[in-house]
Amino acid sequence: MAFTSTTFDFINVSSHTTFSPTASTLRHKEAAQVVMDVQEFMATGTLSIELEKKINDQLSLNESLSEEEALELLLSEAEMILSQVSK
Amino acid sequence: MKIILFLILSFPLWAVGQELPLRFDEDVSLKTRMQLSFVFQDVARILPLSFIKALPAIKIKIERLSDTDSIPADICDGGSFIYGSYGPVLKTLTLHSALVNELAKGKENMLSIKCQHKNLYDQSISTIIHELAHAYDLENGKPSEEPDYFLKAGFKRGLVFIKNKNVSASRTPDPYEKKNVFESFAVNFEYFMMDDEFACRRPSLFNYFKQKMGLDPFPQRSCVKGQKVLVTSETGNNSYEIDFSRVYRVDYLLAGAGSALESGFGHSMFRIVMCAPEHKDILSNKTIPATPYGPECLKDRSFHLVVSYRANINEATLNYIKGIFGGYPSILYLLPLADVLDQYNHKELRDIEAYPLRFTEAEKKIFIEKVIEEHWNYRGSYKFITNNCATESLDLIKNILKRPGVAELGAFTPKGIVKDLNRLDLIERESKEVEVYVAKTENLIEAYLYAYGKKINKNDIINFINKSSSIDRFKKYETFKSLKAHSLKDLRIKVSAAASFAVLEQQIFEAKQHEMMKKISEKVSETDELKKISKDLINEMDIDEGLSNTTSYGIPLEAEMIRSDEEAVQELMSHSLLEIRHILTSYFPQETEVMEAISKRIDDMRSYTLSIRKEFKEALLDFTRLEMQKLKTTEAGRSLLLRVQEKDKKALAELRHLLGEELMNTQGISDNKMIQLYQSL
Repeated sequence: MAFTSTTFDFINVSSHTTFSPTASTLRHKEAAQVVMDVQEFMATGTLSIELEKKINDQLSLNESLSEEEALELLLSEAEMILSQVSK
Repeated sequence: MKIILFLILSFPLWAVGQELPLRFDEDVSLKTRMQLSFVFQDVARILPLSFIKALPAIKIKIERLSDTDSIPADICDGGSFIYGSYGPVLKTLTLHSALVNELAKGKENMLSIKCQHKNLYDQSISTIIHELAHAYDLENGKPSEEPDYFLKAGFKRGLVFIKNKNVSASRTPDPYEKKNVFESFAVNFEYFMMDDEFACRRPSLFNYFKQKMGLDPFPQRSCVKGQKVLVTSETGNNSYEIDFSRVYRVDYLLAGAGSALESGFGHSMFRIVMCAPEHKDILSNKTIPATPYGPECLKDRSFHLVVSYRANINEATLNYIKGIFGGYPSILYLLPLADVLDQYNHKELRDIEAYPLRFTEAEKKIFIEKVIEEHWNYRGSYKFITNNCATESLDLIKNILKRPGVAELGAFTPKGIVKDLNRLDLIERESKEVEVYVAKTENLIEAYLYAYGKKINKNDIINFINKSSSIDRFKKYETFKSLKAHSLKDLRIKVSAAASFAVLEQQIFEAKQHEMMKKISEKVSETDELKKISKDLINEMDIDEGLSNTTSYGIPLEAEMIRSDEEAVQELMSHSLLEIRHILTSYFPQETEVMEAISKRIDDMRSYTLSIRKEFKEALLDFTRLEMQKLKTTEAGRSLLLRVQEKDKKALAELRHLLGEELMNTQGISDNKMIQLYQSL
């Protein structure tokens, strides 16, 4: 079957968990979206809305984190989720 | 006996304390008059005094109004029957003889029905109230023709007539209300008087009649006004409760013009700035506290909602299902802001401007209530000039604001609305608070520069996205991958370039996806197999789908919003989507292959970017460690590192400068990491 890529589904994969009901499948999409957003940040220096929100969320949980560290944390979580799926 | 007979024949119909100005036609038999007098007593007891006083003297007749002697059994399943009518010239209220025959059986023996007022007795009462509402309307300056009424009821003033915009309304108490504004007035008045849930289901019309009549017919009602809406995203329609206490602001959104004809004027929308409630982060599963109500909520963009009357795929499509829908009616959709920005800024490369609306708290509340009401009640027909996103948005504004000049607003383009709102001081065009969400074009140009080493302009990047050859890109990427990084600086540049390749490829994938959506839409209309599946999908995506009571009207009550089969609907949708994908691979084999290849390449690019990023980070740590060791050998260096250990910001900046700012920015290595590194030495 076509479009089996874990990251890029045929249907747009951008994940918007706030309004979505089934968290289990979206966790993977969410992780893929984080990686995409980080890539865009690396390429252009622009943070997406979702990534900015996630960084702020991390900071609200742990004030001692810097923004960069929050981003690292998010990325490693996302990578972990994606690697679990692909195993 | 003679005295009683005289009373029945001569006196108006009465009830305790109130008097209806009605008289029976002389042809109506005494028996019928006696049978009906109880019904009229009930009607008089229900109706407000101000209403009764405003009625003219009316004669009651009994006739066979339609071609049937009895009420048809299929009356709730499309059967036709005229219960009553009102003749304005002779001021005559005529009741169908079949209804009167039913009434003769007595209130307790009346049949139940599954539609409208649920039993024939209440149906009779409502018929009389309905016809009297016509008399009231016609004798009192036709309030139904005043904007205060007809805008709330989903009508619009045309060149000659007041026309119904809500042509495809499905959640209606009685489809007859769609016929014209007079019938709409009568039907809604009938429900205002007889249904204690009317206030919860149609709050703006309830408030209109309450004010007009000076009473609330059911002050002890038990229903609770629903705040739930269905937010449409790529996963389908998901129920979401709009908590008014968390609405910080409402903005007018203007999407810039696109290249297609239908998007050439831009697009009108609204943004509801919601403050994030306490929520769980999906990745970490941790609980994130709620944002305190205030300007901070502007940052909670992933919780903001967009209100959009969106007709079809060419306007801010979020998923290709909409493309299959084709001519979907004009519906008030609620969409996640992130989806809308993704669509416009990213996929269509169009800017969005957000103008804060200067609503009072009361206006903001009415706006939200009206949005919820329109979301459930309104199913219009999208016409490019006369009924488009701009006119719909302006009608919504007109509907809620009672300020001078609002009723006269007449813009029919999204930009025209900005001018109108600015003129009325509802927005300030030049305000610092106006936000612009910029199209990603510049980002793509920058990504191209990193990946291909060449600065190009906007047209070139669009050409590249739409027309570049997959083989050429692949070759270029493979060459790039094989390049050796001779220094840490090279490696850093390589990370950015790898990410840039991925960003560009992702954009190309989305452009191709958009193209394919268009082809799918065309294919659907000419392919029976796809038509059938898309029809199923339309049903599955229907905004009413899954509600526990689909025969109800207006805003669903809390109990009706239990979409117990939500997962089943999602499953059905997934099944239909899979079927469509399967068929598509046979219709578009070449395109499918290309998409699949790009998709795989993006996966590869992602892995590669992350792996060289890791390589760079490790190399950077080694480099920093080495340099710190060197510094430790000098007095000045030791002093600097000691200050670094004490988290002195100046010292950290000095150290970064010393080791090379280009490499040592905070993205490469954080302050905490540098401190930890020193401590480990």
